[in-house]
Amino acid sequence: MMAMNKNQDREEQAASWVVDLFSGDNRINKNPEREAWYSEDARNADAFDKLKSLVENLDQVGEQALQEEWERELHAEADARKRQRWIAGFSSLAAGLVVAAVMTVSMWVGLPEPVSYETGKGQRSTIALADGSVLHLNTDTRVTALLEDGERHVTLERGEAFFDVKRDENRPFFVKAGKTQVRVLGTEFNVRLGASANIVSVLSGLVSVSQKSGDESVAQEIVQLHAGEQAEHDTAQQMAVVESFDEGAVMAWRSGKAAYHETPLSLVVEDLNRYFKKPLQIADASLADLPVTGTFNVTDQNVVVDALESAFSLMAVKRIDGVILLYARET
Amino acid sequence: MPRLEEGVRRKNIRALESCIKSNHGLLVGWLTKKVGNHDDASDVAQDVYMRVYRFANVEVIENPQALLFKTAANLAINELKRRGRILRRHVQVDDDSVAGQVAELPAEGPTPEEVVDHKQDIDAMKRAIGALPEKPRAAFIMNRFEDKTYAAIAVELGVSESTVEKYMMDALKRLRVRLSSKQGAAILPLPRKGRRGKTGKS
Repeated sequence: MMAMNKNQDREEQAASWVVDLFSGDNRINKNPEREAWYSEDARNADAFDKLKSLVENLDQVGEQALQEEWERELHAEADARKRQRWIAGFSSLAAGLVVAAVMTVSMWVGLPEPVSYETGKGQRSTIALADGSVLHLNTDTRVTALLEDGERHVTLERGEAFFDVKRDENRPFFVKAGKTQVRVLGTEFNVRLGASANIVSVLSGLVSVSQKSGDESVAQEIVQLHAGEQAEHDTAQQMAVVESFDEGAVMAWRSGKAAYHETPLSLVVEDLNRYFKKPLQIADASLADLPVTGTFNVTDQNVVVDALESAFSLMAVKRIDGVILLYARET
Repeated sequence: MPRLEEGVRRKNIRALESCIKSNHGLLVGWLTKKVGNHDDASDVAQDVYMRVYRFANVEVIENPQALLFKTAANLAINELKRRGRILRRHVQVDDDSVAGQVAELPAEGPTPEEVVDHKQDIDAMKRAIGALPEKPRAAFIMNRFEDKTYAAIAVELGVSESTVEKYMMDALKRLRVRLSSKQGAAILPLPRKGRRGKTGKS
């Protein structure tokens, strides 16, 4: 009995060392521990070599296996699209209905599968995930969620989202936004994908912000954020600027508002355009740096344009293609 | 080349066209992931369409989507092979001196029995890989046939590296059970060029 366990252990060990060998990680291509185990007993070496050559021998069917796998992938994607179209049909309904529909789908499917949620320009939506976490999506946003037994993953593919993560020590929650990766156990935080930097703002709890560079290394932690801190993560520079932030301004979108404090008009326009199908455009270059302070109700573009016109001496002219041009008013 | 009767041919082409139309976005998106950029992906997609059109002129197509996907997978593999990005082991020669290449040649050709055995082994291997559970299979194929590191696979599957290791472990154990039951036959190295050989004792 004892000997049998020993042999099973050896087979198990051999498999785990072959897995180690194939990692593709050059740091452990030479692993002294593995080599010690290998030369310790001829039966170890034999078990290792047998499994290794069994696996390497499979290379000769590599092309066919890869071909079949990729066909399966394509068919799976086509099926997923069909499902998504079905879900998307509901997303234009009230948020509550979306939640109900999504919960029905995940109960019906049973297995963990990535599910995507989307909002169009000017829309907002609230999603209750099966683990008890709640996602709030801002305008023009897309996320994909995959809840596995050991880990929870959400990818922010576009836009901005607020995460209210249900605490679960055994199931870390990861948010991927471009090259920014955020890891939490249970917190409230906001993530926004930007052109030059991704912004993570933490309302409560502790958030680890890291970055995966290329496809080779593990995620490098850039910074840890506490409640009240915000990181502007520049992935090209692999660095983050950490500041305190104005909670009211960052969270204004949750109530359909956008708040600015001494923000240059050019940035305000860029930010507001996330919400509008007919974009604003600064026609007088001299206006770009005009400081804007105020809170706008972004649910109605006309009201926003009126407010800009009266408070900042601007004149808005609608171009034939719908673009709204902002001019300085002659005084 | 035999041609189909005109009515059948037209029906064929129509079915194919509507299938291409509804899958074009998906195909280009998927190809972009595989070949790395949108332009090359569009080129490959065009190549796929040209080939299936030619095929549609001479054969009845039962399932246009399956044909489209099969062709796309095949041409994506060719494109990556051409660039030397995948399946490198199959052509890589450890020692590229003339002596090394001569040493790689088998002393004798296989006997007919060996050829039959080999074909059975090949089928067994394909079936063994195909029978793996989804995640371990995906991890195994990416690692072995797409030369991806566990770190890269972790990113692609959206799991941790230790989960990838678990998948690999699972795949290896299942393959061992399936393929070493036929004592030795399936694990006999076959004559071929360029086996990448690093032993644990390096």
